[in-house]
Amino acid sequence: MLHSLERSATVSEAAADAVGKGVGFAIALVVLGVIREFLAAGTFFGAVVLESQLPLFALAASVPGGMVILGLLLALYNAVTGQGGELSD
Amino acid sequence: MTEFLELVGRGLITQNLILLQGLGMYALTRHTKTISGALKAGVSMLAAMLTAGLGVWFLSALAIPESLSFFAYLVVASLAAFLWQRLLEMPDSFSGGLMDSALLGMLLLMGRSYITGFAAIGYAVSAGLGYLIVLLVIAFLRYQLQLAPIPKPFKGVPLVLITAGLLGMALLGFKL
Repeated sequence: MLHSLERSATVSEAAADAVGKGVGFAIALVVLGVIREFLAAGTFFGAVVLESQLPLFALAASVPGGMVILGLLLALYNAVTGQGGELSD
Repeated sequence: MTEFLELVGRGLITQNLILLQGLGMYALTRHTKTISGALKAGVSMLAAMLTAGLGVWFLSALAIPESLSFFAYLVVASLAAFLWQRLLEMPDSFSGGLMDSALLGMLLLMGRSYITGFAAIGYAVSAGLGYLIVLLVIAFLRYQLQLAPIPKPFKGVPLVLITAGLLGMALLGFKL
């Protein structure tokens, strides 16, 4: 986050940039968290959704599982928005 | 000796900073475009971690209260990153610098598992080596995948994250 914020020029620009990035980051975290929680425990914000003995994908609770899910989400985002290809700096 | 080897194994594999702790994501996605870039980022981070390990060794002689240890680690990490940025003439920006979550995260992991004294240096070196090896492996895999028929939405960061996730799942087996 700090990496991208150091480019802003004025205070108001920096503040707007920070708010936008913060809200976007929070939304991304919540989406990722909801997916990981459902896959790993079968719950949604703690409420049981899926009654089963075995979780769908228990590894989703671990860091590597989170990375895979984040990668798939990014690919989905790229496919929907038509972006993609190599990362631009 | 066995304990020391176990500590080294922890830093290298079972507590691998990038793959199993999720730290240093910036380096994972940005500094692995070329193998030489990954080598440079990994070696400079190894040097910074070794310096930070030395700093922790000195800190343990000072008997700092536990409530202040986070700030002590922050100071040690900043000093180590600043020193090597100056020595290697790197740009003084966040994006090109060494002050990233892997460096501070390594120190916090050290503090959480009460690794102090000389063991701190062994842990710092093994964690830095683990970081370097992961960056090199991912950069090499990216190089190999350049000509692979990858769907456009997956190119770049998504594929790096999925590759790193699969590698991390393989390493999870050593934790059991």
